[in-house]
Amino acid sequence: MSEALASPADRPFVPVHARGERLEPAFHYACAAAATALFGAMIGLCIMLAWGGWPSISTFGIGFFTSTVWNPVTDIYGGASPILGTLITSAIALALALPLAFCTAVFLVEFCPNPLRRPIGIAVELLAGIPSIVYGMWGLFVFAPLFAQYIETPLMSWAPPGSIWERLFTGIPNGSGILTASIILAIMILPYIAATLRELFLSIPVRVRESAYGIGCTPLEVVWSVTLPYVRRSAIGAVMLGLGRALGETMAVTFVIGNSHRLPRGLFDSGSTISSIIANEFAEATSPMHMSALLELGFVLFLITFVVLALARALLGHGHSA
Amino acid sequence: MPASAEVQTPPLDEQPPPQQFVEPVPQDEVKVSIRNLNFFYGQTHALLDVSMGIPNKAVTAIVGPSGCGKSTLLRVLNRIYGLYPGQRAEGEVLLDGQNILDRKVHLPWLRSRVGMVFQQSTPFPMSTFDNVAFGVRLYENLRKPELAARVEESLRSAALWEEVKDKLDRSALSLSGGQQQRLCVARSMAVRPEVLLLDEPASALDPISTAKLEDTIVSLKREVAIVIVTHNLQQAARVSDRTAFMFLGRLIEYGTTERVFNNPRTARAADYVTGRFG
Amino acid sequence: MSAATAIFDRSGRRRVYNGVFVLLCMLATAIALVALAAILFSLLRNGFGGFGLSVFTEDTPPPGASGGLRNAILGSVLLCFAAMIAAVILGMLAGTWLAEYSRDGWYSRTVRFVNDVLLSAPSILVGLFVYVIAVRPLHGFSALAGALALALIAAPIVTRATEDVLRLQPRTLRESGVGLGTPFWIIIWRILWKAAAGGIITGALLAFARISGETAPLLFTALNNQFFSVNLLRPIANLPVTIFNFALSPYEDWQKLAWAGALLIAFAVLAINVLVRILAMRGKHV
Repeated sequence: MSEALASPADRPFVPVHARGERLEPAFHYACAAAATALFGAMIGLCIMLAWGGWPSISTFGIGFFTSTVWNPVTDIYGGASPILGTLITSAIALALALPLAFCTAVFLVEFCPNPLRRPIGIAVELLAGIPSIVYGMWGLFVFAPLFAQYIETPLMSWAPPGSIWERLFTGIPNGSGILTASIILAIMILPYIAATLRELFLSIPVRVRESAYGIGCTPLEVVWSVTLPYVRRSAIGAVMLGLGRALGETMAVTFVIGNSHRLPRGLFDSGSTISSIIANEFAEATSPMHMSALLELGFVLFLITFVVLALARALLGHGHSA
Repeated sequence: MPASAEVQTPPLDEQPPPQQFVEPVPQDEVKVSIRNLNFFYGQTHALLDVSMGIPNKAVTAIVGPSGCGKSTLLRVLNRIYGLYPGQRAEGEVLLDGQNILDRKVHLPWLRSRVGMVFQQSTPFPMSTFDNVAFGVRLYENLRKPELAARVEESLRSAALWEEVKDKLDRSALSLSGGQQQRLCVARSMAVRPEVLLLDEPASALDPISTAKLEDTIVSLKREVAIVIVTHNLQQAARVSDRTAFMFLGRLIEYGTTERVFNNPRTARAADYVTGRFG
Repeated sequence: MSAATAIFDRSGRRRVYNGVFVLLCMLATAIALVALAAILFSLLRNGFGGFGLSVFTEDTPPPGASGGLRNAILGSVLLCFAAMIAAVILGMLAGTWLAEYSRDGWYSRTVRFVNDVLLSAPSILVGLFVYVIAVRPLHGFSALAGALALALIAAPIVTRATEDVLRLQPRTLRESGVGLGTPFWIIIWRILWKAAAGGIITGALLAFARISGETAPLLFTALNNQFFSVNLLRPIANLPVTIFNFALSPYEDWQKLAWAGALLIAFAVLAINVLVRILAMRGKHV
């Protein structure tokens, strides 16, 4: 055996090229091309929306953002109500979901009895995986009737005439509207935020939390003065990620917001968001200007979500997938 | 290095101990000749002017405290450092007279001649047979029986054949740690290299696996030149014919293992082999 | 003595605050769980109402007639598989590039960032984008455009999973490949991808789960089709859009079918998610 390996000159075979070596550049380029394709998709998305929306942008100018007229017959479009609707529903959804998500994450990390920890954690993650159209249907057929009967109607009859409450609760008590959409959105983004926060809390070194407990802190004090400051930056990122979801969510909102082009007068009034109006009208848009106005709305949504998501990613850093 | 370590009892001939003592390797035994090798990690100068010969069909151990550059030296010998940007080597490393640091050197060719085994065993995620055949298939078009013979030969040379011959098609990840490490040796040997580099190959192994691996190393030197980096002095003493002692990127002492361990000429090597530091 | 009382008092108040906090946390978790339970319950109750063998054997009916979802189910499966083939190829290559070929250049940092943003970009915008680049120029909605939109949503997920799991592979695995003189692409192809297979498959499954319920990007790409079709250049029936249309229709038959479809999608997605967790758990124990 060792004779076979005697000296280089005797070797039966002197390798010059390893097999497949010539394909190396091709593979490398293929990988780089795929990465570039993703980059190009993002750039293309931005450019195409702006380009498609250009007729509307150049016709209506800045007035697009202040006008609430949306009239396919006269071909005059203003995007104020869907833009405002998007911002309002997302803000309310975030305000509702954030405390719940935070408390859920804290419960899972600090208080949950061990045998329940995994099942509940998984349940929360499953909630995040349910397709949004299911939330929309559930909102329309199950939640909205109950909401109209047990919340909207009593509140509207309770609200004293002339008070701030009356203005807030203006609308038609049929279950759809701004607040319903916000609540459904909140239920949707709650698990996202909770799962990300939980992951963040778990990333804190055990010794940090243990030493806080070690000096006699109660769980509340540990969470408030150790856990939260430790992950503050990333936690804000997680919240922004949830906000990004809410801003762009389409189906869950389209079912329950009522789809009117007016500026909503109160929480129970119907309204629209950018994505709901695109979902409802784009496939049937007949005039080029109508389509262009919808694309401009899409461009606006792109800009808003891009800023929010970019901020979220910058705060979170690379490494959180939720 | 603290100044106090420089204070030594004067040797018998009243001469201060030399800073460096390198025994030349006889010219006809040299397989790899390292000449004025300098190595940089970015701005960090990791190897300073290292010159030594590595003999053929023998085991050369490189020892020294952590961070002395012994692994760096090893990683120059098959240019694996080239994977990482910012790392570069200057000087000459002659393999059978040919400078492997030359830009024109074909790297797969070099690496098929200079095999390497790492500290952590790295079985590929495939069967034991395919692991050993992996390198062979890259370079040679062997027919099935020939390939099987080569795999058996390599596994035998790594003293692993008897243990795995009945489960060649099982995943290599199911082998024990010691077996995995010898599998890596077999995988390197299957390409029929002329030099085998071992980077702390036994540091993650238990004593029994270590003993088996050391036996393997000693028997392999009939076929190839072996360079082993180790922090374990006993191991160097057991397996190697020559020992190089490095310190802070410099080659301090180099000679036959017996001489370096029993009669070190430099103060630092003496301190190190007698366990006074390191 | 008085100092001790002060501490006692203070910790008494602290205990109360803490107790309230614990209660709030439990309440919040309960709300989340109740929401999940309520959604699953209504899905099951309403979904099984419209469920039957005919769901799988008959095509979507005209209003007032009975029928099933066969064409929509097959269409969705076709769309998702077509999209996943593209997304896995694109995502694996891009993720490999990020992890293996260019870890720290400005361009790779940009691509990584863009990919992270794409991961959670509104899916309806992807639909609009594909409409502008693929539907309008070709003058027609098509299954191909729908698959393209879904692929653009799935690819970032696969990219991310591939990059993450490749980065977890030990450096020495690459080095021992290189040490044998193996061309780098063979190291990736035969060693790294194999070692990373579990994570990549998990990522692909999650991407599949995500796109199988996506509705918004299909509304104006694949559109919908009341009839059975596998022509990639024509509009194709698909579950999400069918559910959307049927649910918002005034016909009770259609609404029932919509619930059945929603049940089908939700459980497919949940099943994939559970499968992923089982795979991940098994991976940890090995």
